[in-house]
Amino acid sequence: MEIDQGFIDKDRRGFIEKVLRGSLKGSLLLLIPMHSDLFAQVLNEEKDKIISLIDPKDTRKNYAFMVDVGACIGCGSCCVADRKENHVPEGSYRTWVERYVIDIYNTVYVDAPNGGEDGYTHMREDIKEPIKNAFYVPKLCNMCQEPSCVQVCPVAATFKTPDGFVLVDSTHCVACGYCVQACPYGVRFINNETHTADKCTWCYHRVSKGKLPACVNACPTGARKFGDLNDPNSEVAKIYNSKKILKVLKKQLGNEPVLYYLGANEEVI
Amino acid sequence: MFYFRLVLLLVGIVILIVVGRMIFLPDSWGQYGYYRGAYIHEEAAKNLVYGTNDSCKECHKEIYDLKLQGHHQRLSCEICHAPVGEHAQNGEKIADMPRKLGEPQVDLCLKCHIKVEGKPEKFPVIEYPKHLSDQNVKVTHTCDQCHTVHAPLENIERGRTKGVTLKMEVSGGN
Ligand code: HEC
Ligand code: HEC
Ligand code: HEC
Ligand code: HEC
Repeated sequence: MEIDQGFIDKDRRGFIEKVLRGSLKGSLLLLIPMHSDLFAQVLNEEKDKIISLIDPKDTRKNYAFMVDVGACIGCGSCCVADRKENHVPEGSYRTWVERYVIDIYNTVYVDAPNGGEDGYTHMREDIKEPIKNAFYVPKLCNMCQEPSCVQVCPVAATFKTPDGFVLVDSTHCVACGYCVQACPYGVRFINNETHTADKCTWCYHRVSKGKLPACVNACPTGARKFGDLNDPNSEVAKIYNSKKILKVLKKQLGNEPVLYYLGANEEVI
Repeated sequence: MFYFRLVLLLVGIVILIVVGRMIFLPDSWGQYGYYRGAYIHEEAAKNLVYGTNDSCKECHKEIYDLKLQGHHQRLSCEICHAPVGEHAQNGEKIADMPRKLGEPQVDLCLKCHIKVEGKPEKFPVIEYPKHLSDQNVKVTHTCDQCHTVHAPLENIERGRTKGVTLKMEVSGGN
C-alpha cells in the first residue's frame, strides 16, 4: 500500500472529503449502470429482438374470461378438467366452485368441499332457516392488469406477458410465498410437487395453440366463457358490448381484473 | 497515484457488474420485460391433456352427430369419459376409454342433474330415487336403460311421437 502519507497528514479533512465524493460518484455508477453509455448498446440489441419476435402484423388480442353465475350448475366438471390438464396435485386448486346459500335473514353461507370438484350433490342440511337464494360461483385467476403478485415477487419469477397473462416461471421461483399472500383472490398456492408458486394460467398452453382453456371446454352450460374482446364476433365481446352488467371482484383494490362476472350478486363481489 | 487506483477500482467494479449480469441473468432476460422471456415459450409449449369434441369426431362420427342433435350437445365427451390422449394417439386407439356403467353411471348423471339448492331455474333436475319410482321401475335401474346417454331424450321423444309411453316400454324390464 503506497498511500501518500504526506497528503493525508497535511489535509485530513480535505482527504476525507475527496474520498467521500469519489465513493459517492462510484456508488452512483453502481446505481445507474443500466442507463450509462456502456449498456446502451446491449439494450438496443434487445429492443431489436423484441421487434423481430413479436409479429408487427399481429393485431394484439385482448383476452377476457367471463363467468355467468346464473348458468353454473355446480357440477365440478371444470375442476376435474383443470386438475388433469395442469397436473395440479391433490389438495391444491387452480380453480374451484363455491356454493353460496342465503337465508331469509340474509345470512350468507359459503362452502366449497374439495373445491366443488365432486359436484354439489347434497343439500346443506345444517341451515335451519328457510333459504332465500342460492347459487354457485366459479373462481380462478383474475389476470389482473395491475397484479399485486407481480409487484411483490423479489426475483421477477412471476410476470405479465405482453398479451396480458400473468405467469409463474417455475425455474426461477424461490417459493418465498409473498405472491401467495399478496393475491387478493387467493388463487395462488405453493405446489408441493414442484415446490414453486403455482396458479391458474387460463391454460396459456392451450390458448396459444388456439384451444379453449380446459375448464371452458368442460363446462356443460356455458357458465365459463373465454375469448378475445377485440374480435367483435366472439361471445365475450358480444356480452361486453351489450347492456348486461359485468362485475369484477374486489374492484376497490384497483387490481383491474380481466375476469368478469355476469349476474353476480353483491355477496360475491 | 491514489486517484489512479481509485479509478481502477471503480472500473473493476463496473466490469464485475457487466460480467456478473452476463453470467447470472438468463439469455432471454429483458426480451419482453424484466423477466426471463423464454419462459413464455416454455409455458406455451406444454403438452395438451384434453382435446376437444372434434378429437373424437374422426373415429366416432355417429355418436358425435347424435350428440349434436340432442340436449347434451354442449357437453364435453371427455368429461363423461376421459382425456383423448389416454385412449387414442396419432390416429390409433391405444387403450380402452372408460365408460361408466351401473352405479358410477348414476353418480355421473346425478352430479349434474340431482336437485340441490342453487341450480339455475331452467336446468332440468330430478329427485333421486323418486325419479325412478315415478316411472314405476326399480331403483336399481341405471339412467341409460331409458335415456340414450349421448342424446338423453332422443328415444323418449321418439317414443312419444309414436304414441308409446316409456312406462310401457320398460315395465317388463327388471
Ligand atoms: C353425459 C355423459 C357422456 C357424454 C357427454 C358422452 N358420453 Fe359416451 N358414453 C357415456 C356413457 C355413460 C356410456 C356407457 C353407457 C352406454 O353406452 O349406454 C358411453 C358410451 C360411449 C361409447 C361406447 C358405447 C357405444 O355406444 O358405442 C362410445 C364410443 C362413446 N360413448 C363415445 C362418446 C363420444 C365420441 C362422445 C362425444 C361426442 C361422448 N361419448 C360423450 C357417457 C357420455
Ligand atoms: C383414432 C380413432 C379414435 C379416436 C380419436 C377416439 N376413439 Fe374411441 N374408440 C376407437 C376404437 C377403434 C374403439 C374400439 C371400437 C369401438 O368400440 O368402436 C373405441 C372405443 C371407444 C369407447 C368404448 C370403450 C372402449 O375403449 O372400447 C369409448 C367410450 C370411446 N371410444 C370414446 C371416445 C371418446 C370420448 C373420444 C374422444 C375424446 C374417442 N373415443 C376418440 C377409436 C378412437
Ligand atoms: C356435465 C353435466 C352433465 C352430465 C354429467 C349429464 N348431463 Fe344431462 N344435461 C346436461 C345439460 C347441460 C343439459 C341441457 C340442459 C338444457 O337444455 O338446459 C342436459 C340435459 C339432459 C336431459 C334433457 C332434459 C330436458 O328436459 O331438457 C336429460 C334427460 C339428461 N340430461 C339426462 C342425463 C343422463 C341420463 C345423464 C347420465 C348419462 C346425464 N344427463 C349426464 C348436463 C349433464
Ligand atoms: C324408467 C325409465 C327412466 C330411467 C331409468 C331414468 N329416467 Fe330420466 N326420464 C324418464 C322419462 C320418461 C323422462 C321424461 C319425463 C317427462 O318429460 O316428464 C325423464 C326425464 C329426465 C330428466 C328431465 C327432467 C325434467 O324435468 O326435464 C332428467 C334430468 C332425467 N330424466 C335424468 C335421469 C337420470 C340422471 C337418471 C338415472 C339416475 C334417469 N333419468 C333414469 C325416464 C327414465
